Amino acid sequence: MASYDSTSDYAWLVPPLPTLPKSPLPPFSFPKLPSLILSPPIHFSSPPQSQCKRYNSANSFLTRKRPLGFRNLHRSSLNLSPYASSPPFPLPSDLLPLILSYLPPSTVRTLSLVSLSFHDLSSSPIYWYNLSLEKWELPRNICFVDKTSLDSFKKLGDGGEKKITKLGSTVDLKYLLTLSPQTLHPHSISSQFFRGSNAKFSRSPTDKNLIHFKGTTGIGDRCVTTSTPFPSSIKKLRNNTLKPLPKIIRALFRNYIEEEREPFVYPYCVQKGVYDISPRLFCYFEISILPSSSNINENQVPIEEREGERFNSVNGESDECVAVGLSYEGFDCESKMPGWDERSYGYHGDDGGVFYANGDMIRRYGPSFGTGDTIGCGVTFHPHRSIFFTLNGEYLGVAFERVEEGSLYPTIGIDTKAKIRANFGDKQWRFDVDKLWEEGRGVVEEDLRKRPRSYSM
Amino acid sequence: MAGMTDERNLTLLSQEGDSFQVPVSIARMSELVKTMVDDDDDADDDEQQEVPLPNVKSSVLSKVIDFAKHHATEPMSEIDKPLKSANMSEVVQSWYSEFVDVDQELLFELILAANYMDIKPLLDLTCATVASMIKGKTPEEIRKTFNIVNDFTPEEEAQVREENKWCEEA
Repeated sequence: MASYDSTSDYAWLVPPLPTLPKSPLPPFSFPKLPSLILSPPIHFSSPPQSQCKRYNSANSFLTRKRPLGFRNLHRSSLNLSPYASSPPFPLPSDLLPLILSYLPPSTVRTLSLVSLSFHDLSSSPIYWYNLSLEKWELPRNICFVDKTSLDSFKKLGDGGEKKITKLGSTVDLKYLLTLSPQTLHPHSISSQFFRGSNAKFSRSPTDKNLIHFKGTTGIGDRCVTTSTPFPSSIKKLRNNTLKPLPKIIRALFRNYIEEEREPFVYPYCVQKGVYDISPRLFCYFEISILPSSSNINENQVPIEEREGERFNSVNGESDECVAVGLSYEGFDCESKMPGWDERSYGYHGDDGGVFYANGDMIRRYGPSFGTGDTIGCGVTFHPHRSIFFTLNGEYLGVAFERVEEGSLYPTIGIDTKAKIRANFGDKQWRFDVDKLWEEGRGVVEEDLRKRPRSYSM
Repeated sequence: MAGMTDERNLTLLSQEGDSFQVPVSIARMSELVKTMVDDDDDADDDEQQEVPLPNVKSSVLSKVIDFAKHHATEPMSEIDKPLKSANMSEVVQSWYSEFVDVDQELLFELILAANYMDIKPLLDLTCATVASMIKGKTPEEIRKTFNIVNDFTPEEEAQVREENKWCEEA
C-alpha cells in the first residue's frame, strides 16, 4: 500500500525521542509518527506480515540499530536529549548534570559502559563543558570551536565565512579533553621572576602577563620563561598502533618514528568569547612590546590601538633589545638572551637575527623590531619539529628545522624599559594560525580517525 | 510586633491533603513556599496560610520538613565536587548522612521534592548521594545498584569498551 511506503520514507522525520521498549523485538508496537504523516487513516490493528516487517525495521531504526555515532549527530542542545529509550534515573534530565558534577571524570567515563542510557548520560555536554572551563581556567559563557568536527569548515575553504559552533552541538568535549596535555600548556610567565624584594620584574596586578623590567637596561641581559613547557606531543605507541617492524629496523628509523607527533588540544581565543580547541600540531605564543612612556590602561585599550604610537627607537644602534624564543630545561635566565647557548633559540629585536648556541647571530632572519611590535614564536610538529616566528601578524618562515628533542619553554629576553605583554592564547593572536592549522589538518584527522571513537567526525 | 512573623506557623498541604504545621521561618527554606508567602502579603494576620504542594507525598514532605528543621539548627556543610568519598558520612555531618540513608525510591522522591520546592541544600545532598552510589563502582555493580539492564548489542559494547580503554590510557 502506498501509504505504508510513504510512512517508512518519513520515518527519519520522527524526533529521536521514542519511548519504545527495546529488548529484542518487543511485542509489536508502532512508532509514534506525527499525525500528518498518518493520514490518510490506516488500519493498524492487524497489518499483514510484510508490512509488519517494514514497521519493525522502522521501529528498530528509531530505537537501537543506529550506530552510537549516528545518535551523536542528533545532539543539538545543552539538554541531554535522551535518545536512549529510558532515562537512566527516574528524574528529569535537567537534574542529571548536578548528579554528575559530584563525580570525577574517570567515573563519568565508566558510566558509558553501563547501558545505552548511561552512555548518553556520560556524554552530558554540560558536565564536560564545566570540566573544560575548570581545567583550562576559562571564563564562563564561552563557545568552543573544533574544526575537525565541522564539515562546513572544509567546504567553505580559505577566506570563507567561519562557522562558530555553540557548545554541545558538534564540539565533543568529552573526547577532546582526552587530548589535552597532562602537564598544562603554558599560560603565564613563571611567578618566580616577580617574587622577593629584589625581583627584577614586576607585573600588572590585573593582568599577570603584562610585565615590566624594573632594573637598568644595557648592563646585562636577562630572560623570563613560563613555568610549564609547550606540550612535546611525542606519539605514545599504543597497543593498537604498535608498528609491526622488527626492532633493528625501528632503531634505524628511530628519528623518523620519534618525529611522529600526536595532536593535542589546548584552547586559544579566536575572537572574544570563542575558543578554538581543534586538535593541533603546533604551539604558539606572542608578545607585544608596549610604549613604556604612555599611560597604559591595560584593561581597556586593546593592543592594536596602541600600536599607532609605534616609534623606531630600536634599530641596529639601540642598546635596548627584546628577544623572543624558546629554551630547554636548565637554561640560565640570569645572564643570557635566548639563543646564546645550546639550551635556547631566539629571534632578536635589535638586529633581526636568529640565534642558537652562540652569541653571534646565525643569520639575519627578519626585520628588527621594538616598541609597538607584536612578535610571535611557534613550534610546528609537522612535518618536522621546527621553530618559526611572526612579526605583526606576518609569517617569517622556518627559523630552525628539526630541533632537538626536549621540552621547550616560551622565553622572552628583556633588555628594555618597555612593558611587554605575553599572550599564550587567552586573547586573540595577531597572527592568524588558521593557515598553519590547515597545513596539519590532514595529519591531525588521519590520527584522529585511527582512534577508537564512536563519535563520527 | 517585631519577631512576630518568624513565630507564626503556616500549613503545608501534601498530595494526600494532609496538613503539616511548620514555622514560617523553616518553611521559607523552600524558595517555592517563600515566593508564595511573599506574594500573599496582605493576607489577614489571624488567618493561617495554607500552601498546597500537590506534587509531594506526605511521607516525603515529612522528611523534607525534618531536613529544614535540622538545617535551621545545624546548617549542612558544602559538599565537595567531586566527592571525596563514596561514603556519605565522610562527606557531610552525620545527621545528614543518616538522613539520606533511605531506599532508592524515597531518595529519588526526595530529589523531585527538593527540585519542586526549590530547596538547594536538600537537592545538593540527595544528588550527591546518588553520585556516591556510583562512585568507585564497576559498570556491573552500577547495573546491580540501580537495577539496570545492559542493553548494548555486543558490537556496541565492544565499541564503547574500546573507546573507554583509549580514554583511560590518555
